[in-house]
Amino acid sequence: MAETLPVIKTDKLTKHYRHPFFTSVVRARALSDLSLEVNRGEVFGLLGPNGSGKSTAIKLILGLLRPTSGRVELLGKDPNELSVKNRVGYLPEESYLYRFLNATETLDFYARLFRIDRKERRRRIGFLLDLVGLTDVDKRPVGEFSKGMQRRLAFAQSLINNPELIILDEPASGMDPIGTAEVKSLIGRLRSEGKTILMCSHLLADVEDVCDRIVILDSGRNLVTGTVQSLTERESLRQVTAAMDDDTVTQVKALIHERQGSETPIQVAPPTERLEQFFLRIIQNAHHDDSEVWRDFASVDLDFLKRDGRRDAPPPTAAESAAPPGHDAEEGSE
Amino acid sequence: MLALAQIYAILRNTLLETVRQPVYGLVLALSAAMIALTPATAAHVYSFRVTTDLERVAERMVADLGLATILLAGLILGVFMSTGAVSRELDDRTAGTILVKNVSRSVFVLGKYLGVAVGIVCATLTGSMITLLTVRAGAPVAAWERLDWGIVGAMILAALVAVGTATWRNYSRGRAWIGSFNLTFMALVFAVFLVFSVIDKEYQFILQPGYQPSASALIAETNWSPTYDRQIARAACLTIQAVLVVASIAVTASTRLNTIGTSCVTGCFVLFGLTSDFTRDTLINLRWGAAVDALAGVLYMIVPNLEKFWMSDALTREQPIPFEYLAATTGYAALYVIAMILIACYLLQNRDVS
Repeated sequence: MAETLPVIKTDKLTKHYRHPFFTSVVRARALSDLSLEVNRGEVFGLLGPNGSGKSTAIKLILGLLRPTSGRVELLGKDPNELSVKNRVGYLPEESYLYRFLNATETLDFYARLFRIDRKERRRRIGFLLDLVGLTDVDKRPVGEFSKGMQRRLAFAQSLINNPELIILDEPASGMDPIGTAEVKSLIGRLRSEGKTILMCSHLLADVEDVCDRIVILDSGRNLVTGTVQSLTERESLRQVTAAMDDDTVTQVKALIHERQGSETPIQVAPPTERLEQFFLRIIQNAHHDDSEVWRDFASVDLDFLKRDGRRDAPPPTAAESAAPPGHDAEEGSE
Repeated sequence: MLALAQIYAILRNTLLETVRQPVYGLVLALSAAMIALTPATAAHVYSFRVTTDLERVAERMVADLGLATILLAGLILGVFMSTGAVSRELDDRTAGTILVKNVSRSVFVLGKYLGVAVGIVCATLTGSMITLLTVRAGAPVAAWERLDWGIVGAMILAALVAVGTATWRNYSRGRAWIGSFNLTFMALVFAVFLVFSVIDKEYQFILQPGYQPSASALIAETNWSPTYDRQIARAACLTIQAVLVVASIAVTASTRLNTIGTSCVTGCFVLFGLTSDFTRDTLINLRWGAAVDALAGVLYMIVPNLEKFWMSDALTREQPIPFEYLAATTGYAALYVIAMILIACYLLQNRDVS
């Protein structure tokens, strides 16, 4: 029964920021009547322009803010219950880290909060630093990290307690295209292990690649909710991708005009590779020693982050890990 | 047990983050230097009594300046560490990454205060030990008087070794220089203090069987210790307690105010606390009515009476500081800190963290 309950549920969630002393004065209406549900095992996207209430919604869900009205349930309970927080990981919009601690000390601190014993702490820290590619700089103060490195470390701290629910606020912020591709690959891999992920991002292409369902906010209001595919598909059109010579193209166009009328608009153009894929391919080709430029987490052993905590199960194949929906042009469905 | 483990984790994190900050090292080094150099002012001491009294007056001046330096350094560190530990974390949102985890806000506040307190105690205790060592080394008022060069040399060596160790760790392991210097210097000062706590002024080992200190080995007539002046040690202990009380006020203010606001509120408490009796008596003597008298009474209860912790006058007049007084003041400080932390927990409980 617990498995069918939504992981996150909000009911007419509203947040107004008031003057600290004159509390009847409303300074900003950040969120208005937001109702949504995030199901177990899905990747849910929060989209919206700047100031639309995305971060406010996340902070209300996490219990950092108190709602003006409405309700929030996190894993079926109040988000301020400590037992619930034990099962949640959070990556904030900015990588708020302690600049005088090094990477190992940072993860050690967060692990201690969950009372993880020393041996397990060391194991998890070593694994997570390797997962995010910071093993070589584990003793360097965080204040000397680049923004991308800080982001990776912040991502690692959100996983230290093997959470059921992971909330990511702009996970690829400050990362180069390779880092972004790795983040998306890791998100997909975590989903395949049964994690539920709530993420918000301004990078719509990244959201499209990894999210199962999305909600679009504006001025604190929910405009639309649904799967990426159902919201973006254009039902009246079909797209066919095949290798064709000019004669075949002419015949196909003639056939369409014959069956659907000569006024039917037809667009013929070579399909383009996504810029991200093109970039990664070029960078990979530039590495003459064939070393791996970016890491595909589809085949990586996730150690303690596995669904049931097993460490020696064979990693899923690339086909078994959840493929990002709708990122390639579809074949003709007929 | 989980709460205790979390309090320790937050305490440890706060301490590490603070001790590695350049400001901490700067305050530590400057206060140590100021205390160690106070004997140089002994030549300006004067008295209407005979020459031997000048030595006592000079020593008391060194002790007085040492305690004042400890108090000032402790207050600066207390406000700085408290605002950094709470207010700045709430502003910079590092607090958010802790509070979304299974950490209650009360545990967060308590862990932060204890981390600040340990950091303050480390710095002010170092200053206290340097004060005791400096007093013992002597404050020469005339050219024929000598310093205890063993102590002076040990302290200079401690400083040099700390610098060298920090440089080596920074070069070989990439560790932050200032953090290594702070920790090494404090540890070495403690080591020097321990060594000279078992050696008297005539460099005899006091733990040997049948040891009897000679009259010249005693530090003061009222002091039965052949090593350190225990009255100064008690005065230093009280000064540290005052700093911890002020730090609790700063932590409490930090739960709701930013750095500037916290500094202002804490400064007001310190100002009125150091003039607590005078302010109350002045308000009452104005005879402006029962309301003002009541206000004076309320302020007197709310603001910590920091005059009770300042023993400079007692030292100057060579009045002993009874152990019972030390115990009573410690209890007062502990109760005040507990009250402040409870208020801090309540203030943070209902605050939005964003």
